[in-house]
Formats: sequence, C-alpha cells, structure tokens
Amino acid sequence: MSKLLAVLKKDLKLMMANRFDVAIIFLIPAFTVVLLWVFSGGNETETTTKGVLKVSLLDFDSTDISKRFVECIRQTNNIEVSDGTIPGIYINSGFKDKLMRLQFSELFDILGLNESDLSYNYLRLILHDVLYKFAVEFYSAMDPLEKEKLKSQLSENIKSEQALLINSFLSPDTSLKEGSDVRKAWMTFKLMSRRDLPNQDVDKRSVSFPVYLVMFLLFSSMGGSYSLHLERKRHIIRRLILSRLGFVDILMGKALSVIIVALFQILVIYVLAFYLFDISIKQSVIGFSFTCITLAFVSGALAVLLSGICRSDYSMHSIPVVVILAMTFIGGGGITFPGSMLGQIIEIASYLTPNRWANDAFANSMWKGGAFLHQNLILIFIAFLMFFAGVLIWKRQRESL
Amino acid sequence: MPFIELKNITKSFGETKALNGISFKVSKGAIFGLLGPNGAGKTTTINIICCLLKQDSGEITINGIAGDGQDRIGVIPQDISMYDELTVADNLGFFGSVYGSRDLDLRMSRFIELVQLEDKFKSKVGTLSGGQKRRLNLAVGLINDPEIILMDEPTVGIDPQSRNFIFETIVRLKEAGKTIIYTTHYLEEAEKLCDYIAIIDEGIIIKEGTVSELAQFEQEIQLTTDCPQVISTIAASMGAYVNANGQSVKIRTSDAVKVITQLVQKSEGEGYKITGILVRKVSLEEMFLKLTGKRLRE
Repeated sequence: MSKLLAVLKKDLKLMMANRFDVAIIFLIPAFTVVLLWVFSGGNETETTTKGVLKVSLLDFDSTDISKRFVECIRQTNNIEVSDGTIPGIYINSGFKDKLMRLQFSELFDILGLNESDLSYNYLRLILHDVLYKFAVEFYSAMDPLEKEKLKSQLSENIKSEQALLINSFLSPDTSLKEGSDVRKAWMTFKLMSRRDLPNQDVDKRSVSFPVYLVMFLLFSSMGGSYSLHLERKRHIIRRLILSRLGFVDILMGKALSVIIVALFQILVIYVLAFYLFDISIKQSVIGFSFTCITLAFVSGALAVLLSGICRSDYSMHSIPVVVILAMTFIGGGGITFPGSMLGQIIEIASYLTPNRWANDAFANSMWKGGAFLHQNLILIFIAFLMFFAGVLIWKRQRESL
Repeated sequence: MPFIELKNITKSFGETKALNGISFKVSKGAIFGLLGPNGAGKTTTINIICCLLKQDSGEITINGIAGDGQDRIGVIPQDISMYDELTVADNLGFFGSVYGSRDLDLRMSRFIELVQLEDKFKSKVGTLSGGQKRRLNLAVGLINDPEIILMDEPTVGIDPQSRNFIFETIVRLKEAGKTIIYTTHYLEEAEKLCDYIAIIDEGIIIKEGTVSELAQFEQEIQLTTDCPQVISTIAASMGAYVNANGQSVKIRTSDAVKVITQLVQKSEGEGYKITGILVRKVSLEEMFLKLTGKRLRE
C-alpha cells in the first residue's frame, strides 16, 4: 500500500510540475463545454419532445393506401409535412403489401426515418400512433368476408404477440379506445427498441451532455497512457521494476492519478454546464455520482491498456485517438453520429463499449429516469478487464523494457 | 566462498544467443569488471543478476544461496532514468520510498552528499548538466544502501571531470565494503578500477583474471635483426608470442628482460646480429583485439 501511495504521490507531483499541464487540466473541460454548446445549437433552446415537427416526406410506395397514410400524417397536429426539412419520413415501396399481410414490424421498418436528430424518437412515437389509427380504420372498413380470407392466408408461424394483434385487428370489435384489447396489443408491440423517449421535456444539451462527458473522460485517459509511455521511453519503468516495484503497483498508481484528475474534470465540466446551460441532475444524484466514479475507473484502466498496446511514439499518437473515437461512434449512438449509419451489428457491438453503458447510466440518472446500477456494474467489470489486460501486456514486455 | 557466483548462465532472445554459458565469481568487497564491446552480453548479465531477466539455464548464488539476497542489490543503469520534471529531492524521495520509508531522510542526505549535489537538492533534474545527472543517477541507484552494486557503463557520454568524480565515488563505495560489478567497454576504466576482470564477447567469457594476470603478455619487444627466423624459433621456445615481418620480429612476453638477455647471449653462438631493440607495454585493448579479432568499441 505504501508503495502504491508513493507512486500515486509521484504521479500527482509529475502532473503538477508543469504549469502548462495544470492549465490544460482546467482548460480542456471548459473547451468540452464550449463544444457541447456549439454542437447543440448555440443559443437555441429548443426542446425535443413537444411542439410541431417540420418534416419532409417521400412516398416511394405511391399506392392508394400509402397516399391515404400520407393524408393521415398530414392530419396530425404534431407533424407538419414540408419540403426539404430534416428529419424526413420515407415510405418505402412495399408499404401496401406489408399492410395487407399485417406485417406491422416490417411495416415500421420500411418507414425510413432520419435518426440524426433527437426528434427521431418523438417522430417515431407519433408515427406509431398514426399508423395504429390508420390500421384500425383500414381493417374496420374491410369487408368481413375479405377479413376472413386474409386471416386464413396468413402464415401459421406467427409469434403469439403478433398473432394476438392480427386477431385483434381482424376481429369485429376493433376499437380505437384507450384500454381496448387491440390498443393494448398494439402498445405492447415493441417498436421503440433503440431509445425510449424521455418522460418529460428535455433540453437537447441535457441529452447530449452524457455523450460529450463520456467521450471527454475517455480522451483524458490519454494523458495517463502517454505519461506511462514516456516512463518506458526513459527506462524509468525498468528502474522501478528493478527496485522490486511490481507492475500492478506502477500501473495502479498511474491509473489512480488518472481517476483523480478525471473526477476533478467531471466536476469542472458539470459546474460549467450547470451554470451556462442549466443542465441539472433531475433523476438521481447518487446514480450520477456513481457513474462518474465508475467511468473514471474505466478511464484509468484504459490509460493502462493503451500504454501497454502502444509501444512507439507513432502508435501512442494515433491508436488511442482512433480507439476512443471508434468507441464513441459505436457506443455513443445516434446522438453524436447519424443513427441511420448504425446498423444492427453496430447496435449489438455497442454493448461491448463502456460508452454505451456510461451513456445509459448518465441519461437515466440525469433526465430519463431508470436503472443505473447494472450499467455501473458492467462499467466496473470493463475497467477491471481493461486494467488486467494492460498489466498482462506490460508483463509480457518485461524483457524488452 | 565467493560472495556472488554465476554458474553456466545461458540466455537467448529468439534465435540470438545473448549468453552462452557464462560463469564467474566475485569476492566480497571487490570491484569486478565485465569488459566487452557493445552487444557482448554485459547488460544481459547485469539484468539477469538483478532479476529483470530470467536465465534460460544456470544458477546465480549470493553468499552461497541461490535466488537469495536480491534486496541487497542496487543497480546503476546505463541510461539516466529519472523524472526530469521533478526536483532532485523528489526523485530521491520517490525512488527511496519504493524501498520503504525507514531512514529515508538519512539515506537521502547520505547519498546526495556522496555525489556532492547538496546545492542542487531543490533543482529540477531537467536543469542539471549531463555530469550532474549521472551523479544523481548513481545516488538514486544507491538509495536502498545496497551491499551489491551493479553498474552498467555508468560513465557513458560524460566529461572527464565527471568521470573522475564517479571513479572516486566508486573507490569510496569499495572502501565502505560494497561489492561492485562494473561493466564497461573502456579498458582504462577497467584497468584503473577493477580488482578482477572478465572479458566477454558474443556471450562467452574469453579471458578472466586480475589486471596483472591478464597482462601476462604485457610487454612487446620489437627487434631488428639480420636473422629473424632463428630469433623467432628461440623466442617461441621460451613461450613467447612471436610475429616476424621482414627484418623485424615482434615478441610479446611477460618478462622482457629475461627474453632479451637470452637472445643476446645466444646471438654469438647462433650467428645473428641484433641491430635494434624497442620495448613497450602492451595495452589491454591490443590483447582484446588479439583475443577476439575486434576492437572494444566496435
């Protein structure tokens, strides 16, 4: 323990020894907040879950049914169909065919939506509702004999959830009422898989804040990994190993210094964001604090792992940037990068990144509401995994130190 | 019983054999020189003794016990490995605290005094001269007050004044009873400091002994004669190393007076004339060249 504290004390002294570095520790978080401000629309203070959305609409199906559906969309109070404004609704060809076969999940898939905006979720919910009403009216107007014919044509291999919905639509008592069987069946039909809507009005910046925070903190691990790289380059690690200091002590000391700085930077970022943009923790302060700590652990562990992997100046200057940007891309979701670019594989891969779990935990703690514990436990697991992988890599390099 | 003993140590890095059965003994309180060109295996030997590397085979004993006494070793590495951003005091304090905080202040003041950097105690290492950094490097390596000191070319790239200071410090450490293994490719350093020298090349110890033992072909006699073949035969029969070239015969021997006396005495009987005699001391460098076919600094 005393050895670990000696290493930590030395690393903090090293950080404080250079005035420029100290200034950077202050300035970079401030810069991050400015980035947040710029990328989230400067002075605009629009919220994402209320109001009328101006969207463009393209009907590639161009059938009598798709045209009727467009009319339904136009009649809603929440969507104003206009030209050339994003996000857009794309009714792809096959819409009528899917509707006739009651393939609702596929029906939603062919409603191409631009996911680059936070309004995506709101738009999706509205369309969900519009489509429901449209479907009810469509099947209600259908001749009973035609209904029976359609029912018999449907494949028997339909999942129970979908079968219930189909039967509900094709039954004579199809109703639009809240609480009706068909309505319930429709609502349990899980179409909102990517991100659920917040349960209240949320400022765009509050939603973006966790993504920027996570990305920034992972970038801050680069300071620690570069510092370890320098110590290797100057043969200091070799000397420390000769002095009977273990790799775990050396690397944990460095990781702890990264964690301390990361926590300090979170504080700077949050205080600035709170005073400048009124970003507050609306759901759980404990969840937010817990996530900050676990994410700082991930940052420290990432520093160890990256320093183990990158053994030359060139790799040290390139690999960490690529890795962190890739993790942000994959795990950051459609908020930072257009969701339309994120295929299902990337969606699955995102579960392997700390960003995904940290973003979820922060969003739940700050504005969305919901669980944060399991995400944090996964973050702790990822941190341990990264740290011990880093230690293992360093140990393998012992002979070449 | 030797204080440190290496028995048949081998070490390979992939296909390259760095050490090929090294064995030597070091007495307590002695300065043992490991002399060889770059890439000979000196640093590998040091790294194995201090446990940074593990040998493929062979055994190292300290005071007769294998794998014991590693805590009694201090290493002065070839590179100046310290934190330039921190002060002399911070560096000494950190490296010292790694060995425990007991007597840390005492150790720090003792070794900073030894390398005479008291006035630089609060200065950042980055502001020190090359020689001062070497001295501090020495102090950092000694901060655990070791019984055995491994010095891996500690004078590389410094000015003569600082080099002499380091020599004096090494002598003082020897006087304090420390056992030192000193690697170098500077022959004059080995001659000046070491009680015992092992010459290493391509992972093999090719010669070892005290400085005087190694210099058994210490003198070279250069004779000018009308009959070089006869003189060569006589000198060779006396166990000397002979090299004849034209009218000149070079004879290497540890006892030049004896050889010259006998050659002069036999000149009348054998019918040859010696027209010129030149005697000079042979350096270790020349001996190394003879043994390995290469120069030390290659």
